[in-house]
Amino acid sequence: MPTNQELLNLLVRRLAEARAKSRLEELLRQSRDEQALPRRAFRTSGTLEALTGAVQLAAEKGALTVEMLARVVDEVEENGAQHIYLFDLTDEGVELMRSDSLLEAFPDLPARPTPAMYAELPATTRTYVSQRENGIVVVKQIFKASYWEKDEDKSYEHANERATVTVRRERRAINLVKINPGLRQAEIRVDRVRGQQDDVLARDLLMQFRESLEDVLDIDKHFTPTPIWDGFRRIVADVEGTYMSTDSAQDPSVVVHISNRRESDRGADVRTHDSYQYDSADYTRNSLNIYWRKPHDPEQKIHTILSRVDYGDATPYAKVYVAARLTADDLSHVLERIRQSARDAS
Amino acid sequence: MSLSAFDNLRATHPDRLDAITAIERHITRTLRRDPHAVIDDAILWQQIREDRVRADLELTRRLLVELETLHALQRRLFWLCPIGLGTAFEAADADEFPTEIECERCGREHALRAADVEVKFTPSEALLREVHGAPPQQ
Repeated sequence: MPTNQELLNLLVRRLAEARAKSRLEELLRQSRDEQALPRRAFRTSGTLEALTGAVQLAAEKGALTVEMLARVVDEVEENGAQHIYLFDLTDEGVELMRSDSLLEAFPDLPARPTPAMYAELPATTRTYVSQRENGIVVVKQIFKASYWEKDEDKSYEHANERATVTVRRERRAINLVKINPGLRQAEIRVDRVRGQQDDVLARDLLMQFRESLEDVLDIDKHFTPTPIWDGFRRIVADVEGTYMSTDSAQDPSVVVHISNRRESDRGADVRTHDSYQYDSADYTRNSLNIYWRKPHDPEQKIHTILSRVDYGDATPYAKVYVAARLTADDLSHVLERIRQSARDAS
Repeated sequence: MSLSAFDNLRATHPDRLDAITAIERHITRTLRRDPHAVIDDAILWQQIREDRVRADLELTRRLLVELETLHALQRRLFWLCPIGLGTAFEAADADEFPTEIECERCGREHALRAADVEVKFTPSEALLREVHGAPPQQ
């Protein structure tokens, strides 16, 4: 039986791996303020080592529990750094959700966090189901993902010889299906696993995930991809609510690429450039690289790459790639705006 | 109204007045349109040649470097997305570049290669203040 201290340390390591130190600092600040503890009670910023000590202190003072910390880890791991496939529920999907078959197919998420759930490299694949607010059902899979990657240290280029060494990497990963029967919406969120948009890996993980669920959930029967591509033009037209640093579009004669010359969101929005004329119905896009301005803080932007991906099924999938870890609210907000753009276009 | 760094430059190079004034005019026009624009030696050289001003690329570069010394410009290194979708990362110094980067333009990871890095300039805050305070040039 792990001690509280071991579990807390494990959870802190998960946040560190997810580069979510700021979320831990925020939790520590909230816990201290809610308990009306003095500022010197424990640190709320600093190095990872200092924060690990602060978490222990906060727990000893009753300001923070394993469950509170686990909730933050869950939010971080479930929102962002993912390929998110958007779907609408079919009538069969709605019927499925009226029954309890999905809820009965998998064990409930344990009320008390366990070391197995938060292991650095899960020994086995674990799939849980949970019912959340507004009737939303989430099936969450915790597993060990692996992928091949070039080993820069072992690869070399000499005058008369060159070699590329690829090594298999393993890491903890989370996939989930989120179903909102009330809105007839569903999402499959696939862990991006690597620090980049690897579409082949995303496809493989999606296929493995859907296969592991197929006894109860048939994606082709219960879901239909949300045609987000129908909304691309509307998103491009929303100059106030979005920011574009790059755009690629095609008409029957040419393919155009336009990018600003500054990094990230530092430069001018390409749509404000004199030469920009790719927002008309003559131009189409297979993907859209777009930043979403936060409604209450327009200078803050959330970056996404939306695409129509063809995996050989009858209908292409609608994929939203989100590299950053986000709050649940921010991610829901962006996904709803994407869905709304598609609805407005139909 | 002329810009102070360019006045200094004209005082130092009385034999290059045409080139300096043409560069001043094009930089001012560019920054009025887009304060985040990159000051690009190759583009400026092309622009001043269109003006029939006699200057080679080397002179254009030398004048830009002098404008950096006069705190009107800042040297900036741009790591370009090798797929051709613009700047993946930029920095004031090469030491700031990581060895690998996840590119927001294409979503992929790129390893640092000298061939993907170009050195250009951006305006200093002081120059931007002057440009936006000055009346438009003809």
